[in-house]
Amino acid sequence: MHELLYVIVMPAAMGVLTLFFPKKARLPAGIIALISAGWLFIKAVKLFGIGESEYFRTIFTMGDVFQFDFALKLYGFSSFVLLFIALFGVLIVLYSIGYWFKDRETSGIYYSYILWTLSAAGCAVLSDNLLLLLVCWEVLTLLLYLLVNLGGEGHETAAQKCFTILGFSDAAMFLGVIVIWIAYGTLSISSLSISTGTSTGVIAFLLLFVGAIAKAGAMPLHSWVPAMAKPTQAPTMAFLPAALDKLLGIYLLARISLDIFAIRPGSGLSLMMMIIGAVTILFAVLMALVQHDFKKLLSFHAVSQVGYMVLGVGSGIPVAIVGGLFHMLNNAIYKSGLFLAAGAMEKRVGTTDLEQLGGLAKLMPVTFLTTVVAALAISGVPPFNGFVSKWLVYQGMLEGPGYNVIFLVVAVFGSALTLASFVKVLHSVFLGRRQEKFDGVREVGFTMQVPMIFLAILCIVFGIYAKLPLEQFILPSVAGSTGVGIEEMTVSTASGYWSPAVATVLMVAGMFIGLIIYAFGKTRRVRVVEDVWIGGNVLENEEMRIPGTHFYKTVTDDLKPAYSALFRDGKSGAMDAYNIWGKLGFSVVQVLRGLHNGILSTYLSWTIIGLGALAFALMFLAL
Amino acid sequence: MDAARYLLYYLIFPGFLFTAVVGLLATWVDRKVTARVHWRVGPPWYQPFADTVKLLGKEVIVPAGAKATGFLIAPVIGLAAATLASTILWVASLYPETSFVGDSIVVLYIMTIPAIAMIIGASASGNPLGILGAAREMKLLFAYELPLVIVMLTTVYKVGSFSIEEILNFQSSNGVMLGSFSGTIAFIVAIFCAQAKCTMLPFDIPEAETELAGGTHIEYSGAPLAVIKLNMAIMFFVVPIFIITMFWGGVSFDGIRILTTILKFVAIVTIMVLIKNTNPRVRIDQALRFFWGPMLVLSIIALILAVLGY
Repeated sequence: MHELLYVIVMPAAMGVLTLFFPKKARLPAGIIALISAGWLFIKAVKLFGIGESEYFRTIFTMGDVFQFDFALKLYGFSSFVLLFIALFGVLIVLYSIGYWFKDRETSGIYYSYILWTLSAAGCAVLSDNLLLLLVCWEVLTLLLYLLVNLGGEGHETAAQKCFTILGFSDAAMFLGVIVIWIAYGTLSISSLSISTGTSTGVIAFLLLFVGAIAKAGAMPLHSWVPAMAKPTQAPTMAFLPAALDKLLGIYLLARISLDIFAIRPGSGLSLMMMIIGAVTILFAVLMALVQHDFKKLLSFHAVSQVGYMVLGVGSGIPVAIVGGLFHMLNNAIYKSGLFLAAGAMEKRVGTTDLEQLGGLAKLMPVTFLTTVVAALAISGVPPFNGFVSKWLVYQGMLEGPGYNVIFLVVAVFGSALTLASFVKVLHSVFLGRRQEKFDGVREVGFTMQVPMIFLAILCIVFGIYAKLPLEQFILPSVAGSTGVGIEEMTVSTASGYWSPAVATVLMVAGMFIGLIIYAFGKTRRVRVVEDVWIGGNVLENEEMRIPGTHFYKTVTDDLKPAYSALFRDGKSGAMDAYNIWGKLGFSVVQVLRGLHNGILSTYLSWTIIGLGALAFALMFLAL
Repeated sequence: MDAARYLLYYLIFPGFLFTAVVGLLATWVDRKVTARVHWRVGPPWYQPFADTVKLLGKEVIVPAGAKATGFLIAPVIGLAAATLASTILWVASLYPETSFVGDSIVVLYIMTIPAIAMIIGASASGNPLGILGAAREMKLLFAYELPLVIVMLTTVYKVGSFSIEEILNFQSSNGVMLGSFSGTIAFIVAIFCAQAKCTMLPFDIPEAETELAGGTHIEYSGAPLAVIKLNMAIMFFVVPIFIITMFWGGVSFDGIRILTTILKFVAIVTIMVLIKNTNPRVRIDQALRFFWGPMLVLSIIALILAVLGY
């Protein structure tokens, strides 16, 4: 068997195996899943080392009309995405073993879904045929539906919403694939090169674009992410919408906009993508500000961050593309870490409601520290990884046409709002005051800590030594596609390069200064007093609890005229194409229902009209 | 060797020692001018230093409900960040060859860290008044951050680079930003943002001594309070320097330009102190409306003018 096929077949086969494990044997199923994910990771590392490989086999042909090729192609970009898909597979399975350890409801089927997802994602990334890619995309949609259905209360509607939106986008992609087959006669991604000068080209691009952004979760097709956030368990959230779907969606977006269609900076399509990116950044983060549930808040950030990637990739400017793709990787890392922290809350505290949580930093120090790192990284605070990729996007915005400065403002300000939102999280979950009933909460187990710590370390390493991932993963991925040589790319990203290592050393030195000042003072003899001072009042613990959920009420209240529509729908999902289409569909159904009045003569007359139309059409065709 | 040189920059000049001393002197200017406005004599020049030393000798009190580590470490992080912002800004102005393309935006980001550290510290204290202050601090931060980012981008857009070196070169060959229409408007907006960034009246909403009894600072005492005061002094120095760099030709120590540098700095500080002394504290929603209303409009006008080339 070809080496690339192993990547697809092995996890799928192991997934079939874990399927047969009963509920009592969750642990062995998890261990088998861990071994397969680990094997996949090692294989992915080897493939990354090889760099290039191909597999081609025609599955079936229908004369000259149609031909389906099972074509796989490994090159810089796909090998790097595959590597991280496998890495996330390992981390999430490891986390899940701890997460499900005492849960009696779940069986090995969860691990089957995860392994199958890994297999389908691997196939999607390696695929060199649009139809094969589409099939994988649909398998992923189905698996997402099944995974959401394993969730808690309200999972049915959430799963339905995911399936509808992603199903719609898959249908759009299918149409796009048909258009490309008819117009250009091939579905091989590496040999396609379509001009967006023709209307056919534009239509084909838009149809594939819908598939890419729906998967990544950009507006207006984002609402499945927040909808599934609350009922779905945190490991699933960390695995799919936070990590894999971002990698896949942006991978496809980059493939179509850089390789197949070669979008130029300043073109109409580029502008459209940048507007989608900017709108996504701003509106999603505004909605994240008002959320009351940890996971739902994170899901809106998962949407908001996609904006930076779409903005970067869509701009067509090399530095911004590099930034967008690096942000894809960084976002997968820190967002996954944040969802895992939410999972720790779920596991130990039993809720992710921000009003219930609070004051858990002392009891769950590892979760707290990893969350702080991830929160600072997502807010783009130096020296963490989010800063580097966001900064590359900003830098790219300066190079394009003049109106790019608007996108720059939105992107920078979006970062400030993200920071605000995570300050709220840190306060409401870890700092502030704890409810007395949660005094006995313990830190999560070893298997759950390891993935969180690992991701936090990656956030730091990719921030301080950003050159490493940029040169190893990102630049080789795009060097051929953007028409810019790898040397030029290296120069254009490295010339503006600040040295986070030095800055970090200096920050640490600064903290030493502070500690020295403490040492001069009487800090070694800290006096612990009974409780806080509130103007002489003595209050109960419950009375002093201020959850962070109303931190930004001033903003929402005061800007009501401008934002009321946005915030009213904030909970159900504003700018939600799903709801709008739902209403439209409902009104169409109402019209159709009106036609079904149960009177035989009406039906007969419709039948006759239909027959007449058919006959007319046939006559027309015969002529 | 580079690292050692940077460490020296950071610790002595133009980093911690220099910034702290000048910052404390700037707070003395603030106190002296305020006293004159109040028709008082005001403290001697060494008062801020004496206050710091005095605070170091005081007992440190931590409430039982606080997350002690976070509570005590937060001011230290703020201090490190404020010093780093100052170092990057000064080193880029004095030794332009060390400037890098993104340094102005790095400085902008790092200048938010002291505020964030303050919020974390207040939140860790577990005091409801402190937490109210923290919420206000955060709202204030993103209220002024929007116009501040936009006015900063007017300069960045004109120069076509985020690099402080290029911003300064552009200003020395094409005249200072302040000389243009867009630059003047941007400068005015930036001054108000600086006022809020230093949490000075009318934007001392997070501390609000008469209302929240110190807000974010309420539980701090002794050495941590000294560090916080030092932080605020450093910010009171860094923020005006940042504005001078972005809009007013930057700072320099060559011959006569020392004098102009000091004059520029004192001018901005005096404007800020006068605003402080002639305005009562506004509510947080008023501040939000102020920054997202008139200031936002002004900053957008400045940006449009800059794009049009004025």
